[in-house]
Amino acid sequence: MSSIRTDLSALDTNIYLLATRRVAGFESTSKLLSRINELRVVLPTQVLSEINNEALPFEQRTIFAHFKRAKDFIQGIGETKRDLIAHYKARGAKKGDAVICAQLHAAGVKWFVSENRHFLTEISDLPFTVLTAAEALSLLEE
Amino acid sequence: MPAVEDKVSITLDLPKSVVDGVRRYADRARHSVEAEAEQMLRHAITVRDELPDLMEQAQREYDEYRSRTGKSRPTGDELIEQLRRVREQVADELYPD
Repeated sequence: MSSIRTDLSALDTNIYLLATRRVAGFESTSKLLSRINELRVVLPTQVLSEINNEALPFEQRTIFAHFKRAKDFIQGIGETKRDLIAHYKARGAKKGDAVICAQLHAAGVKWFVSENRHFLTEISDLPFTVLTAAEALSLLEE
Repeated sequence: MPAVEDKVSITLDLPKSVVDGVRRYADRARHSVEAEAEQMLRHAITVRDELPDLMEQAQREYDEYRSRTGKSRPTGDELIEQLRRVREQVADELYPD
């Protein structure tokens, strides 16, 4: 049976930054990060690059310290397949979303947690479920 | 930390996958399973102890950054929108057409 506790999950860059900056209205992101030890986390190369671009040095250290607490932690490596990127672009994803989709697909991720409400809403049969931090917390309570 | 610490014995029921993981790292490092498990627990405790401090430092760093650059604190929606733009920029750099 599919479960967020046993399947591979990935968290979007916005989860890490909203949690680290403790942004009002997004408290569920820091609650989820505090429970990262219950998740098997994949870090896609695209998310890592965005963290490196956007997070300040101590924010990066904090985020990396969270990775060390994950039940499993798998860092995406290797070249992202261009044909997978093209596949998702052809189905209507913007290039950045197509890249991350290709990386999640290749890594076998089943749950992608993001606060971006517009993430790939145009594609109905993704190989993973997109959910908010609050929804991920609900699944952890089940 | 004292050079020699008192040792306390405990018995744990752990999933086989966890024990296999400890054993794998122990084999790799040529440690006993007990020594590897102790090292892993020490590491986990260090990470947990450091995390609240890191969170505080990250908050201070972000506040200082905003005050230095004169930037206001973005709302969550603004930050999400900013990260959507960053996603496209990073993808263009890493995967040029």
